[in-house]
Amino acid sequence: MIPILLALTLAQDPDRACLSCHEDQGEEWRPSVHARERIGCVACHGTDEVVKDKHQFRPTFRPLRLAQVAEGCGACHQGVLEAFRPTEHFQTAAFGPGDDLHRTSCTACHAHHATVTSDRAAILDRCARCHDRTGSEFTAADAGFRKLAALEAATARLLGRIDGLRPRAGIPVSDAEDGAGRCRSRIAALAVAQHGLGWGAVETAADRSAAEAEAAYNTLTSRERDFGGRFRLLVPFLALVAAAALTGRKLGASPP
Amino acid sequence: MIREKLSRPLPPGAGPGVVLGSAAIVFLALQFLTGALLAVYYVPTWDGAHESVVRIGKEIPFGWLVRSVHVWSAHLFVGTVLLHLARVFLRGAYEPPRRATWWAGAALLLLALAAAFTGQVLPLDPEGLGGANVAGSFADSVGLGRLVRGGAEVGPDTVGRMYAAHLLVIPFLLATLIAMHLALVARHRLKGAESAEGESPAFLRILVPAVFGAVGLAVTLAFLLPTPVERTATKPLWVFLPLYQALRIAPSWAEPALPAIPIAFLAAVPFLRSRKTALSAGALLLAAALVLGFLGWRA
Repeated sequence: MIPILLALTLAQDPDRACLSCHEDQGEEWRPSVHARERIGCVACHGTDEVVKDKHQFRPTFRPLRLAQVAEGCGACHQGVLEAFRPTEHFQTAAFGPGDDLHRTSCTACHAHHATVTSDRAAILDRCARCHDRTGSEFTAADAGFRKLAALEAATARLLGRIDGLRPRAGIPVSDAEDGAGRCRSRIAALAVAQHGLGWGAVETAADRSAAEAEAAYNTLTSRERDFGGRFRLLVPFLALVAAAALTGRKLGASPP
Repeated sequence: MIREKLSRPLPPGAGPGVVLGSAAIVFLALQFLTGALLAVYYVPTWDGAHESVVRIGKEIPFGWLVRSVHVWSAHLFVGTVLLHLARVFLRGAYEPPRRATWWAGAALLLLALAAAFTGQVLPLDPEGLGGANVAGSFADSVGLGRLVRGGAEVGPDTVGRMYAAHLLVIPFLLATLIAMHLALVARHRLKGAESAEGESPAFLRILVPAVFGAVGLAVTLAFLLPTPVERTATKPLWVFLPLYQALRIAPSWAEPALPAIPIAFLAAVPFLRSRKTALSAGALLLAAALVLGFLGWRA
């Protein structure tokens, strides 16, 4: 009877059915980015059939392994999973001891029900639980994060400059807009690629794009300065106005 | 004969104000010249217009200067025509036999306003679209909204209408009316110089400061205050502010009559026999325009 009722309720609103019992998980989930996007319990925890199996305590029921968590996230975040799969973290999650759930999987940094876009300081703190802060793995990640932050700052600075100059005449910004677009794409790509923990490549790519953003910014500054120098060309036209004033004055003394 | 006409004397005590009419023509010539250059790159489509104006203002070498001179000479053209009209009015130079000259001048003012309005819309930036919406709403009140916009809303067909009016219809009418106006001026001479005989080359004496002053002023202002590629003003052009404010405060049934008031005044001026009546009516209209314009600017 219970499975039938559960199935009927799930068919109508699966998330509400789950959360009617699993209140704590609901409290964590509601403020999350997944809740805003209407991605609920069933998306990660399986279809109605799997949930029904769990609730009937069938012999097939077993706890999720960490690798399954990554694979589950990867159903939507495919690029991240592809980057993450070759790493030691994924291997540990898939085949290591399950004593510390979520230790090295997606949820280690992004939480599980309260899914967040974790900030870098929090991620480094999480790394430091297992890695020595002076060790090469930790310092490489720290340096990689700093380069990513520098790229984001340079891109934001360039975008701010473009916004300021966009309405103004005489100062082209379209090439800088293209450059800023490339930097934004690079930031998005590195946000995915960083899950592969190949910090050397991340640093190189971030450095290259930050340099491009910086060069575009300097080009805009130079163009603005050049446009400011246009007043040199104004002198002959001011002379025309003066000549007009002088010749115009004489009209007042027209002979009767 | 041309030499004879060019050599006519100026009226006694003409003053620098005598160059206003010629200066207005030079501003218009500047607009024809810069407008032709802008037309090379302007794309008169709903999707392409704004992008092409941005390209002119930012990418094309000296496009910003050409566009800024075009815009500034438009402001100065309207302003100069207004001042010229005011000067002629104060000198009573609208009286017979110069009635037709006055009417041609008044029609030129209306055409200058039409050119300014259609030109303001063409970039399709917030200011242009705002102007088109306000004018469309007014046109609705006289049942011409769809004709002006080409639809119930400002859209792709509005651009074609503004483009055709701005580049073909209005310039043709302006050129025709200016030719008539100048022919009438040449025929009746400047007021006060009808019978004077002299050798002072009036034409050149007026033309030199008019050309120097108009070109110098328009280019100087364009250099000092280049026209932004993204104009964000939500108010109409300064010259339309009195009408804008009047439309805001007038009851809806009176809206169609509002523009008719200054037009009727301009048409009736040559019939006003008494100078005192004419000056009083003119002062009243000017005061109302200034007050409404100030309120419209502050609104």
